[in-house]
Order: sequence, then C-alpha cells, then structure tokens
Amino acid sequence: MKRREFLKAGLSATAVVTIPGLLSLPRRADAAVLDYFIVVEAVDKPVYPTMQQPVIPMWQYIDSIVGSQLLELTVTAGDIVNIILQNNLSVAVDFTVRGLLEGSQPCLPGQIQSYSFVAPATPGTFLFYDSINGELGKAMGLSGGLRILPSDGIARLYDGGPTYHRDHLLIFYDVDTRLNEAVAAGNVFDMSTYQPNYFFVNGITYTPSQHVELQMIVGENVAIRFVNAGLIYYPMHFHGYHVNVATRNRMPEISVIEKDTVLVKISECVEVILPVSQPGLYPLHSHFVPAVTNNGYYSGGGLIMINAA
Amino acid sequence: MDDILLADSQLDTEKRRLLGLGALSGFLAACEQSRTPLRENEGIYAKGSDDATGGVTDNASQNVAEVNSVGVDCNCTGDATPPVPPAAPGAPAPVAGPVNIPADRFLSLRPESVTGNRIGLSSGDLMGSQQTMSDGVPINVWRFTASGQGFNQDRPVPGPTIELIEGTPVELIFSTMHPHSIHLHGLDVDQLNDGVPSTSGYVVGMQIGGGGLPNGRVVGLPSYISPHSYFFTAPQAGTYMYHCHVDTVLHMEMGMYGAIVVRPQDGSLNRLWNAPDSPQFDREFVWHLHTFDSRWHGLVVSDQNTARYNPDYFLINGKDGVDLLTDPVTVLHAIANETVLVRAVNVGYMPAVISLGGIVFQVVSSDGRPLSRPITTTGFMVAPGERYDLLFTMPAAPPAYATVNYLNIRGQTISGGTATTLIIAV
Repeated sequence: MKRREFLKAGLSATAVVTIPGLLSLPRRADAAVLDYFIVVEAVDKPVYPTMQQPVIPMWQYIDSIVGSQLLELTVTAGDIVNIILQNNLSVAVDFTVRGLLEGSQPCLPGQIQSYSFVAPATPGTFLFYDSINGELGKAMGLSGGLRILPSDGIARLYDGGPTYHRDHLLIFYDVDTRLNEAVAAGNVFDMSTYQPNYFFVNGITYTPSQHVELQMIVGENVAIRFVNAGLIYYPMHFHGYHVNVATRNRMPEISVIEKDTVLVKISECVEVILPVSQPGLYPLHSHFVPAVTNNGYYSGGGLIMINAA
Repeated sequence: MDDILLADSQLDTEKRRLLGLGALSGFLAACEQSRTPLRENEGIYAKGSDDATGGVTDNASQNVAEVNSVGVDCNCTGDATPPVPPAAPGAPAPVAGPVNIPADRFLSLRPESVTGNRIGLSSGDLMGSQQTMSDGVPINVWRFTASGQGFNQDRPVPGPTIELIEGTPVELIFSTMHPHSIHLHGLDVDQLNDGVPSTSGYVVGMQIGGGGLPNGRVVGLPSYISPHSYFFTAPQAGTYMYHCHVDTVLHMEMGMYGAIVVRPQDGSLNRLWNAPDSPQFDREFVWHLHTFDSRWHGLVVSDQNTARYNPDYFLINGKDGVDLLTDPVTVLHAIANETVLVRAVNVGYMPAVISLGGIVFQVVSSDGRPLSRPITTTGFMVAPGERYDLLFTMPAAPPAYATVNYLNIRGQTISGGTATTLIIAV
C-alpha cells in the first residue's frame, strides 16, 4: 500500500515526496502468506527523475507485479514471506536478510530461486541485500530495508519497547559512479578506492523540487527506522530536535540514548523515537556533508526534510 | 606517526618549558604567546583584516564590539572580572552579567571564548586568512571571529568557543560581508533561528554573483542581511557546536565552526549539569576534532571538486603534527589526581577515535544530554557532528601521549591519520 503511494508520488515529477508515515496498525488474527515475484535486472537509473541524464548503471530487485524497485518491504510479525527471485543478470545473486535469512542457495544467471522466511513474532527492522557478490552487489544497488510490524495492533518498536504514533522508514544507499561504469563495461573496480559521489534516501537524491519530506504533528512520538543499505557511515544529524535511540540492530540501546546526531554504521539498522516538541521545517542529514551533495554540488544527496505541523 | 614522537630527553625539555618549575606558570606564558591581545577600542575589525564591511556596517554592529564579554583579561592573571559592557541605546537590559571565570581554568578553553547574553561574531574569508600547518604550509581558511577582537593569527580556526548558562535568553549577532549563516548545532532552536537558508528565508551577508564571486549555491530568493541576530534560549547544560550552513559542504570544511559550552543554571564551572549527581571536574579542555583536505582550500563554491574528501591534515583545535605537542589548549595538563574533562567536538567529516594512552576514562554525556549509563573505556569513537564529554583522573605518572585516530567514512584507518598530543601531570 505504501509502495503504491510512493510510486504515485514518484510519477508526479515535481512533487516533494511527502511521506505521512504509517499511522494505523491493523490487528491481524491470522498470519498472511506473502509472495513477491522479484526480477533481478540491470537498469539505468536516472539520478533526477525529471531529467534523462545522468543515468547510473545499477542492479535492482524489481517487484515485477508493481513494476518498480523493491527497496522497502513491510510485513507483519508471523507472516510467511516468499521471495521468488528470477535472475536476469550474468552473475549469481541471492536474497539475504541480515540476521534473519542467511546462507541460502545462490540464484544462478537465468534461473529462478525461492527464498522464504517467517517474519519473527517480535517487530523489528532488517537489512536485505545480495550476499553472493560481496560489497559489489550492494554497491550496484542490490539492497533494501525490511520492516516487521507487530500483529496485535499496538505500535511499538519491540516487545516492552517504546510506542509511537507514526512510523517512518529511511533507507540509505550510496553510489560511486566509477564503480558502476566499470562493472557495466566489464572491468574490475578496486573496492578499496570506493568513494561515493551520489547518495540516495528511499531511492531519491535531494533536489529542491523532489526530496523526502517526513510529515509529523507536534506532540507525537515518531518512530524513525534508519537502514544503512550503503557502504559508508551515516552520522544522521537532526535539526530542531533531539531523539531517543531505541535499538541498534534490534538490541535495545541502554547507554547513549538522547542524541541530536545518530551514527548508523554500514549494514546497521537503528531505530529512534522523535518526540515532536516544536513545529517547523527542519533538515535531517548526514554530517559527513559530502553525502549531502549531488556529485559535490551542495545541497543534494541524502538530505531529508522534517515537516512538523 | 613515529616522526612526531619526541625522544625522552626532548620530552623532558618540553615538559619543563610548559610547566615552568612544576607550577602552571609555564602554561600561562605559553598561553600569552598564543593569543593576540584584545583590541577594545579599535573598532570592529583589526587593521588589514578582510572583515571590513564598508557600507554594510551600521550602528548595531558597531556596538557589538562592546557587548562581548570575554572571560579573562589578556594578561591571563588572577580572577579579573571583565567589566559588564553598557547596552546599546534602546537595547533590552542584559540579564545578570558575565560569569567570573578564574584564569587558570579558562586557559584550557579556546582563548577567544565569548560569553554573555549578547554575543557578536563576525566572519573572515577569502582574503588573508591562512592557517600555517606544522609542515610550514599555509592553508587558506574561512573562520568565525569574536566581533571587535580581530582574529588570532596563530589560530584562525576553530572559531571562538561560546559559553552560555542554561536557560538564559541569548542574542547572537552575526556580521559578515560574504554569504554565511550560523547553525546552532544541537541547540534545537526554532526554524527561524536555525541558520538554514532555505527554511529561515535569509542568508547573512551580501549576495555576490554575476561577475563577482558565486553566491554560495543558495537556492531560492532568501533575503541577504548583515548584521543579523539569532535569538534563542541556552539549552540543557552540555557541549554543542555551531557552523556555517551556506554551501555547507565547503564552508564548514574551510573552518567555519566552533564549540558551544553551556554551563549549569547556577553558572558553576566545575559541574557538567544541574542535578546534584552531576560529575565534577577540576580541569577542562575542549577538543575540536577535524581535518583539512588542502585541495578544497582554494575553492570558493562547491562543485565536482567537493564530491570526494581526502584529508591530508589531521588536527585537534586547529593544530596538527608537532604543533600539538606544545599547544597549551590541547595538551592535557593537570595536577595529579585531579578530575579532567575533555569535551570532544567533531566539527569535521571523519570519525575520530580518542585514546588517552591507556588511561581509563568515562564517557558521561553526549550531544548535551547525560548518558543513561556512563561508558568506561580506553578508546572511544566520535562521529562527525557528535559531541562526547569524557572524564578521567590524572594519574601521577601518566602515559606520555594521547591520540586521535581519524578513520575514513567507511570506518577504515587512514594512513598517517593520527593526531598526537601530550598528557602531563604536575
């Protein structure tokens, strides 16, 4: 449901991608069986949706039913999830959920492979990615975030954990275009020289007319889930607010809780609660400020706006 | 790193130079040499500085020079209380005056600390601001200065430390010729005073475009004004920072940042926060953690040259290399058994791992808030934008060196990326 809203917003080329955040959490009596038909494709991703250039050669998990990239997966605790993967690349890939589904069979070029897991009974945030190609798979774009919601309708980050009124999922990844161009040309790229020059949050790089804007209302507690699906650290700085770090990789944080700058390391999932204490429009961005540029031009990259009414 | 470690005999000489004959008088002398004297009545800007604003200056900014309260007189002696400056005509009466900061404690902070309820900052950039690194190479920098004090030739970067008292209303008056702003990082001010051009609607300074210098990649049509006042209430006691938020990727790297230290409500200088269980300390240091990529320091605007960051200088408090071994605001010096506070402020782009030579220290607060549970450790990482407050007891015979190891943004060690300073017990 959320994916379709996101897609619709993306088609409206000049729209700020305003995300209201999941508000209602239905209670489900029975677990669902969810089938996702995913095609792994080489695509040319336009950096700016309104412009034909530049494009970046990438590998993506494409949800073949919806017709767009599978970047975010939201399921309910207890659901049975089947990823039916068809590999249209010339290299083997797989579908790995870090901490939940690992060590599966690879999916060879041209073949179809099924990956299944049961969403755990406790809510949480996970990273999914291709583990066959090491960092190269992630660098080319095979990664995303999995959010598991509670099944009893009570919005909380974990059992006994903080509750929230609104839920935002932010997935970061970064691109070093030298790597993508090398892979597309069949050349080798030395990963030790990886230095990204484009940065995306939920698949979008910031421009004034199109960027991720998180809606919220003063007085709410807002859950923000950061998923680092990229290859650099993201020290995320909040303007206007301090947040409470709730979990790191689903482990409750006991020490460094109240922060205005939250480090999300490579492959890490960090959940925070933002008590919305004042209204206004405030940036949320990495304090490694080159990640707030488009190929060096400020501002851009993974800049997010918070819009609190 | 080996080339900056001193031989034992050199270390002894250095200690003696810094310590005098076991008293702190040597530090006072070193501090004297490292700062420029106050220029109280010379007008806002030192002769020859590039801060001259020509027609932009008006009476409000003229008076700014008079409202800064600097915590100690320039002779670095005694408990001199600086005079409370008269308010500008028509200005609201200032709330209770500046805090008396004893000289020897003040020595540990940035020499140009400014405090009070009305604070003036100016900026210097694009001409004549150079920081000479330990290898003798001058690096072009952009910096904040305390209005009315010119700038510190020896240490243009970082900018002045702003000292505030929790809960007091503050007016921060910023004057500049070029497009800049001040973002009060971590202070949770409102949108209007947040210092972000696209959300506040203004940039401080003049728009320079066309045939002149680029306008700092400002999007939209904000107003350009100088001077400009930021109004806010000093937040919960702790450690914060400020930096320019115009064309941020470049302006910040060029040196436009400084630290903000908020004291507890009673103004005490030896406690971190209000609660009775607040840790206490005897000596205090602010460590700005940052790096320079010298290739960026000839640029005037962000572009493809600022896509990738490759630092070649690794600093603490604006100094690097051997200069760190003799820097009186960075060398951790205290009497044996004193409690020492280090406020680590990462104003740079690289994660920084602090080690005190093996001394066990406690991390007690971060980003202006106490930790729920203090962390006891011998090494700790501070990511860009974060602040951490570290406490340790000075041993009688401490290890010689403290280090800051800078990592790249992938968390990998950078060859040569270590800044080393001394630990000295009197």
